[in-house]
Amino acid sequence: MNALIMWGLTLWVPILMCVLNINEAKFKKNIAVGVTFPRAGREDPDVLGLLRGFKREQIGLCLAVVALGALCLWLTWPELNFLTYFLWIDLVIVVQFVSYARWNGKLKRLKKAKGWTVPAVRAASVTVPAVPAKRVSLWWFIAAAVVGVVPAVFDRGLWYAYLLDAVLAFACFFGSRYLYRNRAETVDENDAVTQALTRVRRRAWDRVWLLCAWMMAVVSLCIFLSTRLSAVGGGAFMALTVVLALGVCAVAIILEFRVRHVQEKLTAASGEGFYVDEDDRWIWGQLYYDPNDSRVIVNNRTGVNSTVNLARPGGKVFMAFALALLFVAMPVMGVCFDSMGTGPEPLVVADGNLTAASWGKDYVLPLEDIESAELIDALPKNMVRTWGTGMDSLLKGRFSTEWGDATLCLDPRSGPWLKVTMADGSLYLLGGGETSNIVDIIQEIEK
Amino acid sequence: MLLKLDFSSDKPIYMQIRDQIVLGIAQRQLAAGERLPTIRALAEECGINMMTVSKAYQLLRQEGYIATDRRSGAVVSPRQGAGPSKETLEGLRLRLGELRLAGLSKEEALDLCGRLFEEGTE
Repeated sequence: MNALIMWGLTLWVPILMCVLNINEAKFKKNIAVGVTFPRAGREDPDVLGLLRGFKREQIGLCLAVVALGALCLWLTWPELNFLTYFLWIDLVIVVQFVSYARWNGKLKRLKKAKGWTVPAVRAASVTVPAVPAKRVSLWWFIAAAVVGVVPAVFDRGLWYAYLLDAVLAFACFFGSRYLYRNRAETVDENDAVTQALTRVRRRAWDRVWLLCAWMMAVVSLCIFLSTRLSAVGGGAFMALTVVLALGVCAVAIILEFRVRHVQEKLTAASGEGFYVDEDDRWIWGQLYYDPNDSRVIVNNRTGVNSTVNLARPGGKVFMAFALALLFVAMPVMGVCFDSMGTGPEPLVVADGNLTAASWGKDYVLPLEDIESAELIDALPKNMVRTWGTGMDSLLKGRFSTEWGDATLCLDPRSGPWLKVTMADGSLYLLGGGETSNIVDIIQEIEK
Repeated sequence: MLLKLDFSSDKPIYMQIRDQIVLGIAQRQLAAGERLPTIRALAEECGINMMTVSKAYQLLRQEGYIATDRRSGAVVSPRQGAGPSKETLEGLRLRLGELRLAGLSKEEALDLCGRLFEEGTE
């Protein structure tokens, strides 16, 4: 079930990447697939032919990786599910990156052959930055943070989760301010167009961050409601979170396409006389490298997003971190998650302690502190995970149940399980090993 | 108005900024009283150090092309009838000498000067 949700939530990613890349083949700010062309280049049959080839390849690759993903979902061994999944994500990223770089190179060579290369100068608007930018007020982010932290007043037990949400909501303010390069969207000498493009992009950027801040606030409320309304069902919180995340993704994607559309329309008449051409600063059309630019954060050439300047030490560190995350940490995480998926280890009584262990975490309960222990054949209904792991083969961490809050470390598919009540009233539901082993443990505790 | 900065040029960046703003004022792309970006905003826009922009603005202020104010930042204040400075006359002399060496007659040089002088004023 977990695997199905996981793959179901990401199988559409290559399709989205494909649609975004196909959109790259439309001229925006005189740029298509990361290459700047003059007006004449837009109607050139050779250019148009290459752009058609690029689009065809994108569709073909998209179909191939989606089919491979679907195949992995059905054919993979359960114990390698996460590893396969993360390797597939890496493959999707590499495939689209290489394809884009290949066609970017072809278009650059054609541009050079046609004599459309222009001397490299950096164009900077004087008029647009002279007007103070109107940004989303800090108070909107503070309001989101306050809404996020309010449930902590009523549910002290999970104060850290609400506080984390509130901090993340407030952090979105810094994202909106400092992950955006305050630079005019200069395409040519038309100040009115530069002004309009800059305003549209900045507004879309701020909206996405504000939306993220409020999503964090709503997630906090969802956690609170899920702990209060356990009758709603264990999957309610997860479903709400997924719906929220998908909603934010949908709005961000819509804004991205709207900005791209505006960029396309407003610059449709550009490309005559002087026009901005920064192709020499974009490696493969995707990686910004400019030693003369002192800024680390730079805006992507089209759309809303930001990237880093690889010529700056900060940019190199960021890129190294991102690459390590994608190609080292994700496969390692896959191996770890797959190890977790084998379920908890058998319960052990030794040295006066009852130990329930699973990958990465042990629960050690002193026998003298155990008030009662009993064998149960059925787990409580409507368990809501508030903190920890919820896999098909392993429930671990803190859960809200009809018996009250409990700490779990068990495989929900194979009972019976051990219900342990401690002297301080805390409840543990543990599992692992054969039934006879659990019966022996109960006898040991009773001694 | 656009600044076009050439990082491969021998001319320092602050001089490129100064020259292009002077030209912008002369060609009426920047009107008297028009606000210029703050030092920070222009540095962010150009991707250069704030000190470089500060140096260009300092030069422009000393030459009287801009005025700086705590409240409104830098604004254009073209010198009205102040006459050319000593440096301008030196520069003009040098450029006219270069035109002569380039093979232009006095009439051709004056015609060229006249056309360039009218640029942006029509």
